[in-house]
Amino acid sequence: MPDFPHTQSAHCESGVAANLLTHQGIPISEAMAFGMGGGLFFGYLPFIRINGLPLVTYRAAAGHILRQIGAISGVQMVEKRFRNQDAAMAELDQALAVGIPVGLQTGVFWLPYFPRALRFHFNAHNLVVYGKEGDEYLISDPVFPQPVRCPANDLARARFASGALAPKGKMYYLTQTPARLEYKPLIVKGIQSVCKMMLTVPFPLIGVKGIRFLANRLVRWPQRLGQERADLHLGHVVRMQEEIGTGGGGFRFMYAAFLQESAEVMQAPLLHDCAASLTTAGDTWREFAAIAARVCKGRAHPDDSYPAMAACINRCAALEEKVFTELRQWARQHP
Amino acid sequence: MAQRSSYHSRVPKSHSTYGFITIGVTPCHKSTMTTLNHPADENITNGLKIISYGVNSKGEYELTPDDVWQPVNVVNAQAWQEIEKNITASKDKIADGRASCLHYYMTANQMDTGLLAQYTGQPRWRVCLHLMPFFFHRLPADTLKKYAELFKIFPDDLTQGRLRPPLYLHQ
Repeated sequence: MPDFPHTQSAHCESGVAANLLTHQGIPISEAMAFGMGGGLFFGYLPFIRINGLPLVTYRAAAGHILRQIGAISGVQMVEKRFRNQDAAMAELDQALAVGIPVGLQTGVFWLPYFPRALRFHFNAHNLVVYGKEGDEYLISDPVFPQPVRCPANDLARARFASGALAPKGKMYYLTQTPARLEYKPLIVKGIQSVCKMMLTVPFPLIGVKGIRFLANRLVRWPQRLGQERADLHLGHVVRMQEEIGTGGGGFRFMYAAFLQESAEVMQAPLLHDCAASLTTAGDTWREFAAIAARVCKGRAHPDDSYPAMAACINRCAALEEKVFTELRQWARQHP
Repeated sequence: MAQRSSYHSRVPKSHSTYGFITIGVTPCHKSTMTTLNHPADENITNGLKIISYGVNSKGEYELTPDDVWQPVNVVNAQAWQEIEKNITASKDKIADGRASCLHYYMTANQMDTGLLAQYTGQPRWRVCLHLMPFFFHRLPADTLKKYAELFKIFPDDLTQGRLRPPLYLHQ
């Protein structure tokens, strides 16, 4: 049976990136891959609808982390998309035959090994296929504790899922990696890109401004949408923030783990402080999620209300603004 | 918040509660969950442990396999309740003769006309027509086969109007 260093991780994309690099002899943690790939983000885009609910995202666009990892100097990543399903599966088999583990973008709805409650039409799930036995593929799915197996035609369907973020059979693998990674510039670059997205983009729906925008909208949901729809919107925000694949607190805990790891690498105690502040921000997001869950469940405490949740989100915005301003200043001093 | 213990309290596995929501891994897992009334199981991942980032007593992050945080179960259950409500509404429509059984399969598999059209390679307006019994009963065999393949059922199920469980409940 082929060997692949499967490590369970919280987020699929950073997990796949870390596992693929580790397989190439560059041991790297998931949090580090997430941070170097500039994975953190916030966006509230109500004009994009998912099942009729506004898009809220706490992470960079699907594929961003992998693109950043592929752009590291010395790393070569081959990425292919297909029109034809048979050609896509044949290409996958070819790569596996020469022992290359292949990353795939798939639609969760079609993967039979996924827990029933998580099978929604979400098309940006990443996994690594590292072997084939008979009609079954051996899969290292980063959110699972152990490698799993998937029948060939189910995997083919998952690779050609339709709808938003359709994978179109996307597959990728590393062909070349440097002997060792130069961590410092990559960390600084990753932090810089996240700070830019969170602080300086002149568009009110993303970054810290987007968080505040969400808070303003959220207060008015009960009046505008009625209680039932408002609760659905609220539940949707919490799902995007906390459901499997986020590491909790809308990726804030994962990013804090990255900052902590970077503090050791860079010998920069300031990053430790930023990690602690970001943990507080993540806790505040969770505080919001806990109130929201009570409201959705109809068990609201007397002081649980939409304005209280908006206040919570605004506190998150203030905390994150402070963290990323500090990080931006730090990154400027370390070009 | 009186008990603002959301994350740090998780490392020494505590029984602290966030209102009605139990946080952390409690041995009395099942009994606390009865209040949550999740339709399928007590945990959305079927007991699968996921990795979560937690701060230990020294303030350092570490990865620990853990159950899903309880509020996630609540909002996930809410999303499924909405889907189930749509399915019931769809079944009523079919029983009244206002929709074809394709409407049930579409709803049960969380699709809309746009997505169904993309999966079957037809224009959306045609799918909309197929949702009406009048047009559905006149469908050619190859179109029925397309739908049947997508939903992993037999074309017979469609013509007979049998409502089989959605894809994610297949064994």
